[in-house]
Amino acid sequence: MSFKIKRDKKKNAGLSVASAGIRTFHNFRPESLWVFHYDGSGCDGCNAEYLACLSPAWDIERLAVRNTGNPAYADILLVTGLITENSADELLQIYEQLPEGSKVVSAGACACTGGLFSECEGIMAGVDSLIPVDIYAAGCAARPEALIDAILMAKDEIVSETENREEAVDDE
Amino acid sequence: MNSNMFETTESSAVFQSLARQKDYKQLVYASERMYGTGGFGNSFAFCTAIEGACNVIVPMRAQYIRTILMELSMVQENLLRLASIAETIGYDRLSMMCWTEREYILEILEKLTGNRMMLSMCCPGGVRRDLDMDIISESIDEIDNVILKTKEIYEIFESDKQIMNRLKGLGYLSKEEAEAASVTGPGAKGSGLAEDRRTLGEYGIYHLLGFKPVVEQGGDCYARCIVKVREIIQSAELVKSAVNEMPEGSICTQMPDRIEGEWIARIEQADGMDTYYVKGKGSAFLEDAGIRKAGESNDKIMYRVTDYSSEDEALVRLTLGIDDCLKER
Repeated sequence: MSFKIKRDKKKNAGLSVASAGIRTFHNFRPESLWVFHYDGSGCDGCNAEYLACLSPAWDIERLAVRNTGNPAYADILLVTGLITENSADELLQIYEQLPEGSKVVSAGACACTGGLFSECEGIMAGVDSLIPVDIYAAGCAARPEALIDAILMAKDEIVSETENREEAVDDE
Repeated sequence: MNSNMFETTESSAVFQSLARQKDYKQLVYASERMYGTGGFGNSFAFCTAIEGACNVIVPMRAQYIRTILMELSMVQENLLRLASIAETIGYDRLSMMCWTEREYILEILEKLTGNRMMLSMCCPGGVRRDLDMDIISESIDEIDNVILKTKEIYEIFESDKQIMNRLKGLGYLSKEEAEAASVTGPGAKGSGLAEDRRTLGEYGIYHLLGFKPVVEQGGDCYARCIVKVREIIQSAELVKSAVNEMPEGSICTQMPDRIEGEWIARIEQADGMDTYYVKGKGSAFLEDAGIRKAGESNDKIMYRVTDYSSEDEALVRLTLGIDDCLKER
């Protein structure tokens, strides 16, 4: 992984307090990712697989990823399951609460395309018909390997964005 | 008979709309995705219904393979439920113990079938793939370990006073009430009703294995938890005895292209009874289909717990096996 924590005090000295604060925040952000998990309707299989990720066998917390119950603190929004017309509003509300620069991961066939149920009534064909999605994780049900991989890919995107932002702050 | 008796449930409406688009061989995959963690049981029930309608007799080895996979998936489902219950009452360590044991079972399933949750092993007339006997004999040791650990979990449930204080008396259901509301699964067995579809010998090879249902007399959430723990041990023992007696032979019979006739299949899942109804009129597409999942058959007694706190209600739901999958939110 290309990311390194930069603790160069001299570099920060010339900057304003606000930009130094932003820099520190974005420096540490990839080191502790908080995931908000939204499970729509559907068969509950992907939900059980994400819960297995939090269990000792897979233990996603060893990768500095933490589950949170509040979308306002989330760096990654993980969507699993079917999105029905009734739950679309709920998902949009959650998306609006996400902080700037958060990534959206849609995991499982149902969340990505609607899957088997895409031709049924009242089903949205995939999460990306509602909100922009950054990472897709395939599978029915999406395996813990796929979920962890998707979350780490989202982490890499956040890291590269952070580096770009740092360069922009340096230019100022 | 028609499928009116199923029309109150929402997953039945979803299944019927899928049955209009897909023929009966494709519908096996649809039935498996009606309920994620108990997926294999649902495809088993659907295949049993199709075989009953077509008067097809399944080979003995296929029945053994189905029973082994069914019991393994019941073990993992019961462990999942116990993990959720333990987390709800604040016992994280106990919950993580259940999750860890569940992973061993899922690993065995992955080695045997190639998948963790959606096994895709059942097909009308038998099973898709034979089991590798080397892998099975290796995994017997792991199943023994799971039994040992489950006995530890059983000891915690039996000896811990805080668990008893929390769960005893919660969501009480007397034997008469359970019988009148036709409650199935741990709800019935925890109230002293020896109701289990496996005893009737309608499917699988349970009559050859000398199966007897687990019964507890408490009628509350605690009794249902004990039923779940004891069922894990029982299912694991059933897997072991089924592996020892496995006969050689073919694993699948030829199925007709068109379905003529109707059948109802009822199968015992970890949460209760799964019902599948199919009716065909000389075509590959079903004329009528209906399902009632294990989680939905107990839904109607939830009116009794309206004045509970949300946590208590969640506990009652979890122990009775009521879930909200495939429902509109």
